[in-house]
Amino acid sequence: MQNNTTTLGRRPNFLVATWRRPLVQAFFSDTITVISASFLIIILLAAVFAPWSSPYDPEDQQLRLRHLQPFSSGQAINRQVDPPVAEERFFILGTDHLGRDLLTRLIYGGRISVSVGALGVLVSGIIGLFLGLVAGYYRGVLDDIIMRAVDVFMSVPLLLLALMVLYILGPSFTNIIIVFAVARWMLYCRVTRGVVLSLREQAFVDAARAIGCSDRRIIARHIVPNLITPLLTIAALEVPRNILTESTLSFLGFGIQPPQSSWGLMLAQGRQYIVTAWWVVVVPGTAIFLTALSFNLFGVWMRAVSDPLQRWRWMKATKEAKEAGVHF
Amino acid sequence: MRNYMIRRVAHSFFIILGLMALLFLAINVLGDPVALLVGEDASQEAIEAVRERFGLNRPLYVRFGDFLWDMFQGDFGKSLRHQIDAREMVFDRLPNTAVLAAVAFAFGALGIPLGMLAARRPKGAADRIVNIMSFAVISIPEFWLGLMLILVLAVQFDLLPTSGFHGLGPGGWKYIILPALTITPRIIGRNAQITRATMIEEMGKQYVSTARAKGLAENAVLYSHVLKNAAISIVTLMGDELAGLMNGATVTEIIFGWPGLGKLLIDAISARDLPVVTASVFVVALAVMVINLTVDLFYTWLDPRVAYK
Repeated sequence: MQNNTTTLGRRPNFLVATWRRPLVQAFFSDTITVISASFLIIILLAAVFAPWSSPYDPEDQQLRLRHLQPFSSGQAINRQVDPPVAEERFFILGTDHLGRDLLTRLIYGGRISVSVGALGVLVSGIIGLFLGLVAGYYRGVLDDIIMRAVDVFMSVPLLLLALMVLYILGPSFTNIIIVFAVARWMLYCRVTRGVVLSLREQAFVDAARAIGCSDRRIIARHIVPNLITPLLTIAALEVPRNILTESTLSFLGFGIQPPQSSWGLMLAQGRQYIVTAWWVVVVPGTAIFLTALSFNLFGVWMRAVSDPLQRWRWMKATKEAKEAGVHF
Repeated sequence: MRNYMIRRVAHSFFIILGLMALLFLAINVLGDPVALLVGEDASQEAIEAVRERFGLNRPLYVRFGDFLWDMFQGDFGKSLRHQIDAREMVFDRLPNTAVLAAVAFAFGALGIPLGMLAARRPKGAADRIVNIMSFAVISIPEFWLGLMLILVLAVQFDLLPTSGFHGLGPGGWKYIILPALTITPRIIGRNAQITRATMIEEMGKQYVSTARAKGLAENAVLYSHVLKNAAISIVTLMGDELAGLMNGATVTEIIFGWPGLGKLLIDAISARDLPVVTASVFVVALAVMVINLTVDLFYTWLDPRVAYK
């Protein structure tokens, strides 16, 4: 590639230039991506620092203040102090059927929802990465077995598989993660195997082997780094999927169980009051929707900028590119 | 082609066999079938009675053999709750799920022209709108959309019944609208996305430049060249969607009380009705296999280069 003619010689430069430096620039020039990323950061910070970011206690019931509308306030009894004192409280998103502050519960529920989504991706990603490496690098019988297993698991609808697993193991936070591990590893496995199959034929792998690298070192130092971008891209799009699935499972009663709470469970509990208190259903639903949407939009941006064929659409022309005479 | 189909059917057959074996092992080895049948707080006598009645005191391999043999005969046992053949129950529900799936699927195809519209000018106004809207609709939790539709269309404006089922005949059409409206947006969104993405990808290929260079109108390029080449991905995705719907749009069926397979499965799981669970899993898996086979056949028709040997 290096000793090409001068006109072609500029191309790699231009690609590197568009890729590395202006990534930040490309990010900030795309309004929608900036909005969704900021929203995600807010959600994540709020969830991580829930005890400080939420106004009240998620379990604090004020039975006299049931089903208060959003933006209303009422006389609550503070039981933290002895003797309890009455105090004026403002409920920006209203209260639920037990008089608990909806915003607080939303933040605490978000903790569970987002961590289920992220942990599910992490566990299934690691399993898929491992099996994909084994199948792609070592080939042979193991490859056949793993790929047949992928076929079997791929042919079962996600919800069916999830219900089967939760039916047998019983619903709980850990078991939902197990569901995602069992039901979502195939995608990572397939992608990993595909990339590994093409990488292992490349000269740099041969070179590494020639200087005496062990298989383990080749995989860890030469193959896995090349897998990070494709896998991260899938992961970003899988998180919202997991969040939606978790909320569905919790809604059906097979997911998170009280006293833990997630957005899906909040919705399920609010469902029976939908006619009298719409906000107990609208608020958690909107939270799920906006979070999933932000993850999706951010994930698709990631996919676009990591794809050389699509990248230019999202990048502003750089100085180097302009000098090279490349027009967008 | 014929040989390929025979191999493919045999392959599917083994996949179903594998799946059912997994289900059996999961129930009998990972879980405790007695606990699944009677619940946790049963007395010792009740547990013994259940063991006796369902032959759970026999060795595992004997039960596995029986399970497979019964499955081959299409016998899943009687529903524990209703004392009806589990198979009958599943086949009773199948048409309801199929009709709902067909309606949602048909309207979902609207996503294809939307995706084409977006692909015409990447990053143009139409593209941006379709792109954002399609991500919006796939990010909406289905059950929440269902509840919102009930709240607005059924409760607030009283236009449609909140839930229920009045047969698949002319009297029941009102009841299918809300469930269908709940499922369809997601399918439209995914169809639009895949159509847009594959068409943009295809449009970067050289045959498109050739077609344009020889003076073909843009529409002709899009419809007779690009769309044809993008069709394989679109059909694959639509097959996937249909397969997902076979599981019954479970949540939607529950919210609207639509008596389909998904609701049957959930009810059976809650009632610990093991034969019905097994039978519905089997039928869903069978339906998914049939859909996958059909998609494979579509490939050869769409793209003559795909030759199965």
